[in-house]
Amino acid sequence: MNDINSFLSRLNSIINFSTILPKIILIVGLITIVITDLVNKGKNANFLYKIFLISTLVSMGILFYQLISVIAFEDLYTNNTFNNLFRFFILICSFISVLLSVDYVLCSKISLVEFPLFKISAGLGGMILSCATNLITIYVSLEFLALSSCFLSGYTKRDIRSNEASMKFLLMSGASSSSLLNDFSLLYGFSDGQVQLDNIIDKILFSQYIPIICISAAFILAGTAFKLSLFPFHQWTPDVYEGSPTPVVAFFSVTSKVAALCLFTRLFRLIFPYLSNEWHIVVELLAISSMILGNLIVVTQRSFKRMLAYSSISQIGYVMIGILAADLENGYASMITYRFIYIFMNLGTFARITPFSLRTGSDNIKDYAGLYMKDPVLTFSLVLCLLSLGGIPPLSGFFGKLYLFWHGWKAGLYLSVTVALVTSVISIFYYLKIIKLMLTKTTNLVDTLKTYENQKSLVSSIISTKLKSSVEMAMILCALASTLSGLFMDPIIKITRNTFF
Amino acid sequence: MLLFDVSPGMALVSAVTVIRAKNPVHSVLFFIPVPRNTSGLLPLSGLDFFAMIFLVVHIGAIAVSLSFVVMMPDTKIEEIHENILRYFPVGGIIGLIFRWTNLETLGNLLYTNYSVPFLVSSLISLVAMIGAIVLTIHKSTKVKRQDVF
Repeated sequence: MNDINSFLSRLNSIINFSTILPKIILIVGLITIVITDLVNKGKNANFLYKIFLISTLVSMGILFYQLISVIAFEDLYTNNTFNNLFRFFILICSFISVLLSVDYVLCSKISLVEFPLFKISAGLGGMILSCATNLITIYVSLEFLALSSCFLSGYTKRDIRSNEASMKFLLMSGASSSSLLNDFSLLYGFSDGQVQLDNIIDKILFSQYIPIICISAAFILAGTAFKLSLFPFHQWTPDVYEGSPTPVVAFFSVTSKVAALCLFTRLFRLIFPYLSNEWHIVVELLAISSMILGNLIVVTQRSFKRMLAYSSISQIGYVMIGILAADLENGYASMITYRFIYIFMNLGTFARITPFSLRTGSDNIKDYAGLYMKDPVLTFSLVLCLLSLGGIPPLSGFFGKLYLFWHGWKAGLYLSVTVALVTSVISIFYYLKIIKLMLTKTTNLVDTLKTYENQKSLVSSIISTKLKSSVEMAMILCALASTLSGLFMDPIIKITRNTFF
Repeated sequence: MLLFDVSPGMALVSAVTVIRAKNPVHSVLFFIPVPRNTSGLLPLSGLDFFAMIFLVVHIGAIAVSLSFVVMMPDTKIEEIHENILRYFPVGGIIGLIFRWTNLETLGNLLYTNYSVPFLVSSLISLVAMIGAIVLTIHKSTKVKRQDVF
C-alpha cells in the first residue's frame, strides 16, 4: 500500500492531471467507441458519432476554462496560452470535420464505425504534439498523428486513388519522421543527454560548434516542412488531397497543419534563437517559393480538391511570414489569428464540396457551372468562403491577411510581403473565376447538373432537426465564422497576443 | 574484439543486400543478419536487456512475418524496403537514450518520467491494429464466420 501511495504521489508531482484532462476525456471517448461497437455488433452507429461529438465538446469546454485561468507547470507539459490555443484549434477542427463527414460515410458504404475512432486518435495526436516539450513526446505524438491520418486517407479501400494517396502519405510521414529523428539524436547527443527542450537550450546556448547546430536546424526544417507542405516538400499534397475521401481531406488539411505549425514554431523559437538570421533567410526563401508556386499552379487546375491543395500550399507561405514577424509585444498573434480564420474558411469550403460531390459524383470545376440555378444556398455559402480565402473585405480572410502583412511589413520583411500581395491577387483571380462560373445562368447545363437533386438530408444524420442535416449545420457555422470573425477581430487578437515564450 | 570488428560490417553488407536483391526471398534471408549483428554490438555498450529484446522482436517476430508476406502473394513486393531503413535511426536513438540503465532503472523511468509517451505508444499500437484490419478486411459471402458473442 505504501508503495502505491508513494508511486502515485511521485506520479502526481510529475504530471498534473488537470492539464491532461482534456486528453484523458478523448482517450475515454476512444475506448468507449471501440467497446460500444463490439457490444452492439454493428447496429446503432449513430450513437458512436454522438459519443465522439460529446467527448470533443466536453474537452473543448474544459480547455476553454483552462484558457481563462492560466496556470504554469514545467514538466512534460507546459500549460501556457500558446499550447492551449493550439489544442483548442485542433478540437474545433475535429468537431466540425466530423459534422460534415457523416453523410459521406453513410452514403459511400465504407466502414462506419472506425471513422470517428481514427478522427479521435488523430485529434489526440495533434493535441499531445501541441503541448509536448520533450523530444520523445514530440516524436511519439507525431507518429500517432501520422499513423491515424494515413489510415484515414486510405479509408475508401476500393478506390485506387485512395490507395495511392495513403501510400504517398505513408512515405511522406516516414521521410519526415526519420529526418526529425536524425535531428533529435543530434540534439540529444550534443546537449550531453538532455531530452527536455528547455534543458537542451541551456546546454547548447554557449557552445562553439555552430556548424553542427546548423545541420540540426536543417534537419528539423526538412522534417517539419514535409508536414507543412512548404516549397520543395510539397509534392505529396495535391495527390493526397485528390485521392483521399473529401471529409478526410478536410480534416487533415487543417488538423495536421495546425499541429505541425505548433511544432515548427516551438522548435525553431526555443532551440535556435540566436541563429535567427540564418534560418530567417531560409524560411523566407521557402515561404516566397511556396506562395509563388501555389498560386501560379492553382490557375491550371481542373479538379476542385487539387485546387484547394495548391491554395493551402500558398496559405502556408503566408503563415510563414507571420512566424518570421513575431516580436516581443505581439507574440505570434498574427500567425495564430490567421490560422484560426483559415480553419473556418477551409472547412467551410470542404463542407460545401462534400455534398456537391455526393450528389453529382464529380470533382471537376467545370461541373459547377450554373449551380446558382439549382441550389442557391450552397452557392451562396461557397461564394462567401471562397471570397474569404481570397481575402476580400469585409470577410474575415481580409482582416487576417491584413494583420499578417502589416506585421510582416513592420518587421522588415519587405520582399516577402510584396510577393505575398502579388500572389494574393493571382489567387483572387482564380477564386473569382470559379464564382463567376457558378453564378452565371447557362442555358445548357452540364449533364451531371441536370439530374441534381436538392435533398435536404440524404440519410438520417446524427444531429438533424426537421430542417437541417449536420452537414448544413457545419456549413452555416463555418459561413458565420468566416464572415463575422473579421468584424469581431479585436477580442481574438487580444487573446492571441500573449503567446511569446 | 572479433565480435566488435566484424558485426557492423556484416550488418551493413546484409542491409545493402536486402535492398538490392532481385528475389524477395533473398531480401528476407539477408534481413536476418542485420538485427543479429546489431544486437551483437549492444551488450558491449552495457545494454544486456536490449540485446535480448532486439533478437526476440526483430528476428522472432518481424523476420517471420516478413517471410509470410513474401510467401503469400506472387508479386514482387517493393514496399518492405522503406520499412527497413527506418530501423537504423530508431535503433540508434533507443541505444543512446537508455545508455546507463538496465531493466529495473528502465522500468522506473518508463513508468514515471516518460509515462505519457509510453501510454501514447500503447494507443499507437491499438490504432495500428484496428487500422490494419480496417484497411484489409474483405467480407465475402463464401466465408463462414463464427459468432463469438
